[in-house]
Amino acid sequence: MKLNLIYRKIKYLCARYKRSAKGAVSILLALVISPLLSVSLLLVESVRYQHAYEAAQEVIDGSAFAALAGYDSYLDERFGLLAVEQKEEIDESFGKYLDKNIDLLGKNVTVNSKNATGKLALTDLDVFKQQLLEYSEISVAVEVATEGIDLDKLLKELSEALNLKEVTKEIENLEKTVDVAQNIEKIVESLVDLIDINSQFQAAKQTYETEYSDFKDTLLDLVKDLKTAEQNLSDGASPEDAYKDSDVKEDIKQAEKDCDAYKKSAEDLKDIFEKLSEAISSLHSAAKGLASSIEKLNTAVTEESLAEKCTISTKEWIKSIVEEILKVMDELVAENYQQMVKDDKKKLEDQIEKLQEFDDMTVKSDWNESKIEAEYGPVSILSIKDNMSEKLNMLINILNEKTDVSESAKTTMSAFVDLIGTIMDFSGIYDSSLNAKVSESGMVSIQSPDLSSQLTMDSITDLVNACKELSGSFKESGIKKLVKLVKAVVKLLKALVEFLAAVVTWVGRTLYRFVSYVASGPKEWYNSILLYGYGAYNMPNRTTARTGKTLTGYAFSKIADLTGGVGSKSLTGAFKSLESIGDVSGTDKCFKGAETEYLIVGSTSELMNQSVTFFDLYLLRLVLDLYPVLKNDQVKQIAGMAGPGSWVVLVAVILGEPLLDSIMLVNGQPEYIFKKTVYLSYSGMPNLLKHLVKASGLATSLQDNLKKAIDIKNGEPKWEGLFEASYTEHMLLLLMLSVSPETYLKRLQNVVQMEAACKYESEYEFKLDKAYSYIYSEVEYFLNPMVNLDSLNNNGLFKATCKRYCGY
Amino acid sequence: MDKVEMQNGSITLETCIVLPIFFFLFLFIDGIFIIFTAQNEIMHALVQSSKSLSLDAYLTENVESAAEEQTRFWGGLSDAVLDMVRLTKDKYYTSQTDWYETDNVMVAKNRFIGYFAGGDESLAAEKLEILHVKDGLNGITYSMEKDGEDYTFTISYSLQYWFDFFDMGEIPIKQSYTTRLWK
Repeated sequence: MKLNLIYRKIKYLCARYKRSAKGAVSILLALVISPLLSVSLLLVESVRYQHAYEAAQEVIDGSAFAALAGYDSYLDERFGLLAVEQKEEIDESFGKYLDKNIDLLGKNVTVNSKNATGKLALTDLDVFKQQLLEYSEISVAVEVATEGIDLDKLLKELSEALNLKEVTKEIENLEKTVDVAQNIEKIVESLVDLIDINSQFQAAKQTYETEYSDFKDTLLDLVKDLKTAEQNLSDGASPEDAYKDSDVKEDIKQAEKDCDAYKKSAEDLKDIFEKLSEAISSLHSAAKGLASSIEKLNTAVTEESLAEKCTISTKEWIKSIVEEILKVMDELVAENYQQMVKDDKKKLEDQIEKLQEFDDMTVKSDWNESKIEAEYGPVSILSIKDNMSEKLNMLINILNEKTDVSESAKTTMSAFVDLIGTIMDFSGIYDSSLNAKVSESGMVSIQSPDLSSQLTMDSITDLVNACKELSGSFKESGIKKLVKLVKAVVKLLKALVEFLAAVVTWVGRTLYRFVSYVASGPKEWYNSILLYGYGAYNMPNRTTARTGKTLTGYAFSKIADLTGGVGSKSLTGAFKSLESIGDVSGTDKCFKGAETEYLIVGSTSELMNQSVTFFDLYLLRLVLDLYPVLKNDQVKQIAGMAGPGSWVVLVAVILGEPLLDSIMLVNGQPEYIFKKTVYLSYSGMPNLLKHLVKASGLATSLQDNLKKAIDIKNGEPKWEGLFEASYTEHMLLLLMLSVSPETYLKRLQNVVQMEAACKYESEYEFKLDKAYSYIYSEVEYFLNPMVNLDSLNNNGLFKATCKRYCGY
Repeated sequence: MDKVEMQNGSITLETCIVLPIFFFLFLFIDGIFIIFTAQNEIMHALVQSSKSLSLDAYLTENVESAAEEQTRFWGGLSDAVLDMVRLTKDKYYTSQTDWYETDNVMVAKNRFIGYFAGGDESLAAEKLEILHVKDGLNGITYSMEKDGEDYTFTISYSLQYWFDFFDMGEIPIKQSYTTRLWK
């Protein structure tokens, strides 16, 4: 009831004010539109903000992009590297473009602060490497393809050449031969001692017999005088009184003197005899021992290589010497030799004792010559044959014949020794016009230069000297010749072992990166070609410094212009004086043209870089030429002409061939990486003489010596091989095999820094650590509303920060 | 009884007056939205095409092309290869000519079409029509201004309100973007 009443009262009240339904829709719409409109406008505003936000990011990106467009054109043109130029501040450049382009957004955005800094400079090795690889991906790949290099085959051939299995085997063979040769050296020395002792023995025996003869005469006189004295004795006198006779006393005195002399000669003879018998016995047993050990040596080689042929012929020669010695010693040494020596020694000792006991009254008047002979006659030494001296002289003559060589062999040897000498006198390991000494302060980072190859020079010098000694020994005569020859052979073999071991060590230490290529497969090989190809093809070297250009056409002569120009090519610097060239720094701002050599060696001296690179190149060629030289039939034929001096030919060709290759390469003549024809052969000589015409730094006597050593009429000219490569490609190989990527990149950075600093010297100070490859920009801005009421807010409602990285 | 009869039809009348206002209000807001969209899309294409145009100079300067006004011949094998490769590329994304030396505006127009409609002129015209750009593709004028290495690309066009309400007319718009040539 009450509720009903309340309801009626409310209805009445409403009815009082309700006049009509007019305006209901308007009110409804007004009530509905306000929130709907608000929401709609809010949505539009949010979309506008979103658009403005995206547009602002785009504009900021674009402004950073425009700032990047100010790249260093020199770095790009010269090195193919992209970095922001250092002429203008990055912040200013970015700010300029942002200010111009932010108007694109109208009043939607108000910039509060802007800032841009450079990031990831070219001093960062990863960034640097990445840019190099991107540059090389096409340029180096195209270059390698146009050169026609089959990379897989190159890797396979290199793995065979650098394996050096046969060299290691050869070293083992040579070491065994050295042992044998050292033993024969001792035997020959023992033989010389034996001959010397024998002559002393003969002299002592002669003296012994002479002293006996004097003693015998004195004793005979004594006997005669005794007889006379006894006859003159008075009756009843004692027979001993005869010894008091003055003449007898004189004779006794003389006899004692002669006895002492005779005794001394017997003692000397005994000493010499002991030495002689000892020498005979030790020589005999040494010769016997060496003969059996030579037989046991493995001679099952097939004479495939020249080194094996030389080794076999040396062993055969040693064997024949030993056999001759043994033959003579067998004749001189009887079966029961030791017993005979003992007996002879006893006889001498007994005689000495007897002579010791000689006194005034030893001799009696009834003595005669035969009695004297029986008592004190010289001991016949049965263990030493009477014809020993003749036998030994005959042995020397036979051995001389065995060590004799024909005149043509002597000529061949002499020609090759002269050839080695001329080649070693080569002067041209560096171009003296490329002589910059740069300052370390102009570099980004400093590394120590790699000078390990210089140590191998000692072994080469020793080898050359040993060859000269061997050749010289054939000019001697008599026993001196044999001794000198054997010593020279031992020295040569030892020097050759040391040299080959030094080469193996050099390969293992310097070309160490080869192991990783073989282990990791072709992928790393290809990547390395791209990485190192950049340095080899885009940096000048001594052969391209004047006329070459980078893969993108930048002329290397412009680099020399930076340093004031470079004179004309002047090859100088003695090969044998390599060790004396030192690592020195100076005040030059950049290298003049031998930059690839710097990448390999890392010295601040351009001459040093060229010299050590030349030597590394020489050793690389030596390793690559070993098989072609040792297996070449024509070289074997030439060596055969030198007889026992075939070692000289072997050494001359092993040392000379790579040096000739290196000379050609530094003079701009390409060479096959894997040769099939060698220069120092009948077929190769015509090409050598042709190529030599273009070479400089060689004495004119070289051509004469070459013609003397090898008669080109004996062969048909040929020139074959795999992968013809210029000096630049050889530098690429050296870089890939001997320089670690990190060291290489750091050296490249130094080159870039030095060259760019020179280029921009008059404008500003170029710093590689300011050569940025990325720009980091940070912009703070406000997003403004559609209707900006200044009285309500100074800035937009929303603040946003845009951080962007933009790079090459 | 008379008061009720006098109120018949008042809601209808009110609705007829208010609803159109409400309706046009929302149409207006929608129109603003389309204007924003049009400006943004065209601005985006302008920025991207300007960036692309700025890069043209890098390749053109490094490659001596047969199409260049000044050289008219290849500098080497790599130039010929690169030039051949560029021939196969779309004219809307790349140019073999040194247009920046001759102020060739057509290149800018083509680049804009490339980034606006993927290089399809008919699609570009269609899009511009949807965005109510007056005269579509023909209604856009392109201009370039050079200041040292800086280039300013300007696009001018008029936007029509999508619902030409009481003949509101056109909204003239001019958008400029400054970039630097990679040269």
